[in-house]
Amino acid sequence: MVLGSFKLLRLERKRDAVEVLGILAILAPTLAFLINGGLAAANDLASWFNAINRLTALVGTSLLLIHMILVARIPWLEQILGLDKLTHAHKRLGKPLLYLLLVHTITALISYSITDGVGVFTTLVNLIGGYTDLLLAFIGLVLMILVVVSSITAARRKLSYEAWYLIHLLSYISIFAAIPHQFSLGTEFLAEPLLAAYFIALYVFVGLNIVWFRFLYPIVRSLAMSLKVASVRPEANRTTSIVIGGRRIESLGAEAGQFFMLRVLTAKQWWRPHPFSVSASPNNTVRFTVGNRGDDTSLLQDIKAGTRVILEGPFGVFSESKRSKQHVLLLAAGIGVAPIRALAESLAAEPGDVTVVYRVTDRSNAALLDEVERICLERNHTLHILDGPRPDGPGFLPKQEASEKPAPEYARLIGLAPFTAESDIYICGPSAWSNAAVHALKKLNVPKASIHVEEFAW
Amino acid sequence: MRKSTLMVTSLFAASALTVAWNTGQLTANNEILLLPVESTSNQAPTEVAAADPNSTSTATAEPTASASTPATSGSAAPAPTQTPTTPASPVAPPAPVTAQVSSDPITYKYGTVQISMTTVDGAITKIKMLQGDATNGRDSAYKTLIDATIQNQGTNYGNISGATFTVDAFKKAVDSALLKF
Repeated sequence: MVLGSFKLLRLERKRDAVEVLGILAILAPTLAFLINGGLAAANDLASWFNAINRLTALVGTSLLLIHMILVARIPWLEQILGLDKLTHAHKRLGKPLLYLLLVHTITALISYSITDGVGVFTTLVNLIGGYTDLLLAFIGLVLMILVVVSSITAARRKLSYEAWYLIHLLSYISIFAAIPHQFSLGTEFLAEPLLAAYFIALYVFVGLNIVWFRFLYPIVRSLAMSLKVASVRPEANRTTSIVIGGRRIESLGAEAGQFFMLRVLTAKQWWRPHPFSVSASPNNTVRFTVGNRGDDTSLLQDIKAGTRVILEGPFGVFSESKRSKQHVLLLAAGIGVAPIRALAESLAAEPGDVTVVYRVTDRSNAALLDEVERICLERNHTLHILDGPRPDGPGFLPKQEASEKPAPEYARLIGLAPFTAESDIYICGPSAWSNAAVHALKKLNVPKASIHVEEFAW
Repeated sequence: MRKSTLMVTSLFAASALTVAWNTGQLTANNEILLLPVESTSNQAPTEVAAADPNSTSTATAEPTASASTPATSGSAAPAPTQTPTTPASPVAPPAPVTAQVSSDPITYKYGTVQISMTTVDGAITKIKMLQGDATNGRDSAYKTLIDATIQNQGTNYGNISGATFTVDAFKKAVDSALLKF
């Protein structure tokens, strides 16, 4: 096990390199645009609009490709940034991307309408009437608006996951519909074969990665391993442990704390995968512990042994690969205990190195509690099980008794885990709870690189 | 991202953008829209004299298209070398000869362009639109294009931003007419 500040530096460098790559992907076409005199050619209103139209088209296309690569689930990228961060970035990029493409469309229309001396609406009608490619692009834009609107938080609350998922699939059609006009009419691409070749290469790269890593690879591998549910065992607090077995399943190479996308091949559930953390991997199996929290997880509670499954992954950087310090603090709440339990079991540690804090509402009914207690006893980890009601405000520790002297949470955390500031900290639980914990850690000046949060709801 | 990386990246991006912008300005200055390419820029002027040793009128009338033709603004209508075709018309030198031809109809995305061209002693003097029913006012570009063609005695001029395809089609029509003399 490699630890130390040099590892931390190496991890940071990798992360920076990927982010710089993203910036360069935006910068490159912008430079090409400027070098070709795209901005210098602008001398009146119409040509200014045209310049903006072309620049937003180039930057928008680059951003779209980045947007797609973020959810292509490419292993090397995922191992650097983590699937949750990638998905989060993908979410955040959605709206700016749409705005860019809208600006592109509107400035193009205005520019042409000034040149032609007719109204904007007439121009729109003429363009989409005169060019099949533009009609397609326009349909693509409408679909993209639909996809983005369906993804904003307010809409997500109202829409069912199924509806959102189906609408989101439209984005593939939207992207394909927009491609023809870029190459048949895009001034930049027609004039600069090199730039066109660059974008074609990017399109192909992103497309192949998506097709392979999102679709073909997990299916081919799972079928080859003939992955099946080996056994199902109900646990405390309405949770169930599902054990998956298969030929050479150990070659999946899942580390403790990582998770898989589990796709159960039954008539009802095959089309919707769900992320589950590996709670243990004994005897060449993979075990998930699933809480009964809603529609699909409740269906999973009575899954039959022998059901075929497809596993996609392993994903996540909530593992020892990001650890750089000797001391480790593990914070778990509720079903977030699953990856924490796996970490507690497998982290390289001497007695006393690891502190586990497990926040439960009810000690008698906490998932995997007996296992966590046994592991901590065997490996000499310090274990704090915190039960009791929630605090009135935001917070991750139980409400203080009236008799206790009131203390801020970070001070109470230091009392539980004195080495917190020099530890790697792994947090897994509901997002509000995790945020409160991160807040307390920031008060203790824990460096950001040492805090590892598994986003639980995304 | 670490602060140092962010600083280095922003510095690099800023300087690259500045250099690119300056390069763009330079290329744009060499290529003022719809003006003939100045022979001072960077091409060999000897080409003109060498092309037709006997007919001076054609030589001066038709500025030879050269390597530095516009197209640099990212225009989709690069108008590179029409050199050999245009001056190749060996019009007989005696007495002013007036000729008129019609170009092929050039069909393109917005419609059809067909012109009639009048030349006096091989010099383009008049262009009339036979067909120019391009959609919604795109034909407003024709007047500019006719003027530019007569001024340049050929199609060696840049693009009209926003009417790229019309310009392209018009240039094709002119070339087609010139070939018919």
